[in-house]
Amino acid sequence: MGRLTGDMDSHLIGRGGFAFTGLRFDKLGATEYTLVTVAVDVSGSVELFEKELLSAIKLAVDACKKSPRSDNILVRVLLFSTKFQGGVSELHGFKPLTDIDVAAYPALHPSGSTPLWDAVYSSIGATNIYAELLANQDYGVNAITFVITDGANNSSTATMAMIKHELKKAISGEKLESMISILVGINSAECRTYLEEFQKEAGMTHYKDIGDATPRNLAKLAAFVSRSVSSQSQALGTGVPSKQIAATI
Amino acid sequence: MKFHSDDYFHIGHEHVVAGKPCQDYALSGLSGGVAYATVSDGCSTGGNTDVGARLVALSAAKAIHTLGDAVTGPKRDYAVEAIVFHQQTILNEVKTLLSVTRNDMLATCLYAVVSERGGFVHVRGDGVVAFVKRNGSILLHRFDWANNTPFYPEYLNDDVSSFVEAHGGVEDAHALTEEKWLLTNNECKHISTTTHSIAHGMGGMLIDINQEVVKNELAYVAVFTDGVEAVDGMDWKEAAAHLLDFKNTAGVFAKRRMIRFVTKEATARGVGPSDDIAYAAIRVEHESQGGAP
Repeated sequence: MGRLTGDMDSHLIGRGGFAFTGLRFDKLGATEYTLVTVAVDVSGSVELFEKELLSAIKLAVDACKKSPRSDNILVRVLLFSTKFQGGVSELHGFKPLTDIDVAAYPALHPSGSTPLWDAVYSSIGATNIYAELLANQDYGVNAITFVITDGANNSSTATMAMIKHELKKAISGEKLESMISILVGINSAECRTYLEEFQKEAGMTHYKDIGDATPRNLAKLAAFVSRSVSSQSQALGTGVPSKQIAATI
Repeated sequence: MKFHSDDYFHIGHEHVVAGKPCQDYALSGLSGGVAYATVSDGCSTGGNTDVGARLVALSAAKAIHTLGDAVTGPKRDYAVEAIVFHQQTILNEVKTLLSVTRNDMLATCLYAVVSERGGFVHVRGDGVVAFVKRNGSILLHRFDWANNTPFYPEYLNDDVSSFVEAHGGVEDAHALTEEKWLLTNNECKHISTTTHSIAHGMGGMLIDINQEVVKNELAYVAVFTDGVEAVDGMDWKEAAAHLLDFKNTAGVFAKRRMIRFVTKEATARGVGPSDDIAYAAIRVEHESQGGAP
């Protein structure tokens, strides 16, 4: 899927058993990076549109390569489901787009329940830690996170307090210049209210509902992700998050 | 042993508020087995010296490229003369082609060249030279012309007499001061202060870098414009030490360091660099650090 795993370092997130990987700093030659996380729900209920969802993720990550800021983007993709120990599993940790071969992304094989809170905690927690490490090495850093789900949380180790703590830290501006976190609902009409309330209570920046999981809507999702990544990366250095993230997809 | 280089320059606060361009420039690179780092500071009361500073640095780099490995051969004086000659030849052509005036060309020229055979630093004007040893100590040389009237190589093309006149009219007069300081973890030690004659200074100050020093001791050599001496609320030695405190040596290591320095460390004390600032650095990667034998 990319380079030798020897180029990636592992890091723990808090004491809850969460972990992530990121490219070693001696491999990062630029001055600044936008950390991008795409967390994808692979619980049993996404089975109906598994292929389309995988295509959308591939399309989104691949489209980021066309960004004028592609050399300054590091992407982490993780899947979440109770089928994974700890609720989440990295497809790959933070790595440059040039090292990512989306054609090698494996089939999603959806099953299990939805550990949404674990996914958000892992996404934001990993971003905070990697950003702090990068900032300590003189890199400028901002971030954008997408958590894509079709349902409400029903089994997580992480608590709301843990999520709130990480999100608060992310927007304090101490290490991350700015942070945008987007909860994306797909095929989620039944739990839309829950997701909107969760987004607000946790302190995530936006909630986006893309509607039914049609090929057209999933293509829109991919375009939204790549466009938002590019926009947030262009905001790096301004001290504030991108204001170009569209209210609707 | 491997060599790496990087450079960066940043406009000063006074130039921002006065609507002037950044008149400092930095350039670095590798040519065969030779690494080079060069900076140039355009005179703020000259013409389009932002252009002049770039031409001076670019022509120095081109001259080093042209001469290749010969620049770090055993005859340092010849190497210096050859670089200056080639640089001037290039500049004469470019000046004619672009109709660049004498006032546009009023810019200093500091450069360092290093290879496995050793190297040297040549200072034509004012600024700071730094040698960082592998033990972390930093040896600083600061070159300062009297009356805030530095020597510019362009003077040698026509009116060197007016430059000498500005310093009292006697070439033997000592108008160039060289300070040496040693910074270690525990102290900032003044080593010496020496004055040099105008004639000596116009020829350029040469600091030799011994082959054994490169092989065993040297971690970095860097050249700075005098903007490092004009960081609001910060002594020049401290500013230089900050800029040499590389947290990570991957890729654009000097650029990353200066961006962080300007945006965080310097602005925490005041307005940051009040004058334009430029530096270029050569990193020596020794075998034990992964550099090939």
